[in-house]
Amino acid sequence: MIRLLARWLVNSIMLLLVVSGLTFVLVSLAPGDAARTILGQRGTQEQYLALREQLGLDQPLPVRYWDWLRGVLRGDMGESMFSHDPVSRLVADRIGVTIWLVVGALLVIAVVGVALGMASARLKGAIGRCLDALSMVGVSIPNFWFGLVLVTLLSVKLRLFPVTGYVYPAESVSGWLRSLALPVVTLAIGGIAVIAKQARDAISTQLDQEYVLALRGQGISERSIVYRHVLKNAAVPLTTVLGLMLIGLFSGTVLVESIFALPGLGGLVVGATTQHDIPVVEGVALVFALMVVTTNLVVDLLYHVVNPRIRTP
Amino acid sequence: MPSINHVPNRPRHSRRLAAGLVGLVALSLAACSPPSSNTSGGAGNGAESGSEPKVLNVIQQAGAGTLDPALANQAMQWYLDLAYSPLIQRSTVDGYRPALATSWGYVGEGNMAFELTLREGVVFADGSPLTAQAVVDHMNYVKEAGGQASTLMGDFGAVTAPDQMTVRIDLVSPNPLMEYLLSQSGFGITQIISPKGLQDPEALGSQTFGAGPYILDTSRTVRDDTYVYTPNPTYWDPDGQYWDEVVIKVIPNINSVLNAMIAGQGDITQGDYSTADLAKDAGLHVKFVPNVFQGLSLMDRDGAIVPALGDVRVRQAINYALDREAITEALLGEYGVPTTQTLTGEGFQPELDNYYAYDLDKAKALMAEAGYADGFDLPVVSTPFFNGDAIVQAIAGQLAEIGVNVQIDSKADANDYVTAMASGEFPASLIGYGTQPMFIEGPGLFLPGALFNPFHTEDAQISEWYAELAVASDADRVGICEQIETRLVELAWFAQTTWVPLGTYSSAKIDTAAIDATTGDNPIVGIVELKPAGV
Repeated sequence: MIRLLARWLVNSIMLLLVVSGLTFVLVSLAPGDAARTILGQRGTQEQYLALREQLGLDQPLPVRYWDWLRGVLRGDMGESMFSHDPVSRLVADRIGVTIWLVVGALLVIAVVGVALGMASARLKGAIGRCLDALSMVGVSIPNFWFGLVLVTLLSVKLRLFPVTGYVYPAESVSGWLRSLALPVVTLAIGGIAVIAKQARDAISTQLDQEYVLALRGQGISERSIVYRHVLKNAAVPLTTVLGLMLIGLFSGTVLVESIFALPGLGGLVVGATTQHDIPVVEGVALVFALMVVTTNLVVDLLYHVVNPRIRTP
Repeated sequence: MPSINHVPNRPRHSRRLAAGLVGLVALSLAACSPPSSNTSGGAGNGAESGSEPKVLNVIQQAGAGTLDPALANQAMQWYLDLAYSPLIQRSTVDGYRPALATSWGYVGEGNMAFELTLREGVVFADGSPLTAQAVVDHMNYVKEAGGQASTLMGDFGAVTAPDQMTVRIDLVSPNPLMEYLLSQSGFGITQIISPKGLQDPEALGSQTFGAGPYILDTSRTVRDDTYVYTPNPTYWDPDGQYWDEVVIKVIPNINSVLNAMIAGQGDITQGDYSTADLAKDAGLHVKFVPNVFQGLSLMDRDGAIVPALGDVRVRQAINYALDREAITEALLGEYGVPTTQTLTGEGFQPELDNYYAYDLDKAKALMAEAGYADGFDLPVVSTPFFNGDAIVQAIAGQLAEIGVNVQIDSKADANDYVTAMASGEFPASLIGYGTQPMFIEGPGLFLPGALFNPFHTEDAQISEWYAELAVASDADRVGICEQIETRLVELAWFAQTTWVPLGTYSSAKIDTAAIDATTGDNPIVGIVELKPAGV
């Protein structure tokens, strides 16, 4: 376990450095900068150069990155070049929305995906094939399109859910659930299909194993076999896939937050990228990377929990 | 072989897992209540009458980024107008009218000095009084801040306070547009910041320090997502506070904007012609005005790269070869307006739009007369943004009829396009340019130093008239603008085809008088002028 944590720590530090460095380079290399955004097209070259100097953009890239990194090591993620808000506060204001969105989507994916997979594995024949086909449709549907369809049907026509926006749980728990429902389903749709297929394969494989026959021979109920034994063994590969999927969900939030106008990190980073607000982009990238490495650790730990063989010395 | 899992007892792992989940939940608790880390809340009086509060829900596609008026741009106008009163209000309904200044005008001859008398008894939302010195300090701050407003203040010299309530602006070169620049159309120049605000420039980005009808409630505001404004109890014109609350919601996705409007989550937003029919069908009030002229800019007017473009007959032939009605109808339907002109305000003349009535024979004759009967290659830099490539392709199809072979170089990044357009390496480009007063348009669009004139072409006649425009009286200004506009059309420096419209969608909750009064010259309705329907 200690070796696992040590390896995770080293890998995480490397990943965070690479992600933050790459982000810095890519945002800096993109045409335009914050000074041009602030000045607009009317600004003269002299005004532009003066503003670049004022914002520190005239410094070489490595110097700017090192300054930023030193700040981060001191716990200071800098401030927005536009509003002068501390990046840490901007991130703190929005991170919860993104986490709820991702966690909600992951739960929906896990529960619905595994249920569909199990049904598909056990109900072979026409029903199983139908579920397979539905899974393929789910994989093929672009989630932004699916989100817009949901909004049109359930929000605009039936007025069951808000079209956009986020309600904080402290304001109204039911409002919060309603504001998250469609974004969560939109974010989850592709994942449900993938997990359903993975679960179907994993459960089918387990159901064909000799130990299942043995258990049946002992007179253990089918329900008990599936839930206590088959599902537990099938969970090992599913945990890995869910972990990888969780990482993908973080990037998916950017689009979903845009469609549903949720005040999460995705919307923040899109706006900041458009404006070349490097400290904000860096801050969000760092937080996303942190979430990814944390997810990796949690998946590794879960893998230990669900797969006893790994724990065996 | 997989083991038969006998559910071993593993409390250690369960505890770790639980700890991880607790950590995740703890992080998420940040989202349980709206951000409240900001310190200065608004002083809104809310709905005090006990009746249903009147809330104006505004939808914008982009957040303000910063709320510092000195760093403002046109897209931020509504965010700032709610909290900052200008010196002069430029109303869509009745033109220029008093706001923080009650009277104003040029001093002496030649548009070299301008004076304003301030309204007595005005107090900023933070309690500090409006004085001439406060306005002077504000202007000095904006000029030094390096934003778009400062670029409009290039002619401003000393700003002084001859007495407690008089502000004098001396100009280093004549400027005939002071009334315009000192209204909200001059971006942040006169959205006056209080002395307390100026003492803390860092706070200007996320809080408001104005004397406008509303105050930003920072405790309920999430940057670039939701902005909540409550009434300013010290506002100088309480009858002009029509709403108990104004909420600006940022929705980046254009389809989501329309859906939110249809579902009643928004009362007003800026519309887009691509969704206009749907908006109309859903019962929203839809108003469009011409705003951005689009087409080709024939930049190589001296023929440095493509000699043919140096001949005015060739440029005119290109203009005659364009069926503007057809292009406009195909790309924008009923919402576009065909044009040959660069502005919609002073200088615009309806008859000039027929100057190059579609005439293929005449175009071919002019090409032959200029010695280009067989045509020539014309590289054009474009971008897919704002339908740019589509309009250039439509133009290319029509120019092929007179032998002009348009070679489109499309830049996927809008900034790349601007860089290439201004580089002097392309003889022609896509152009999309928002209508502006002629005096502002000149240095940006057609004078020798303009960004959109990368070959620095100069027409002596235009330069002479432009110099006259700088010192012109109000009475003479229109005539000079018309002379310049006519000359631009005759010289065929551009081959524009279409006015791309700017639209407003509004719900039945709003009185549409101020919206219906918008024009291409003043396309953005004053947010402070919006009243509830039936009031």
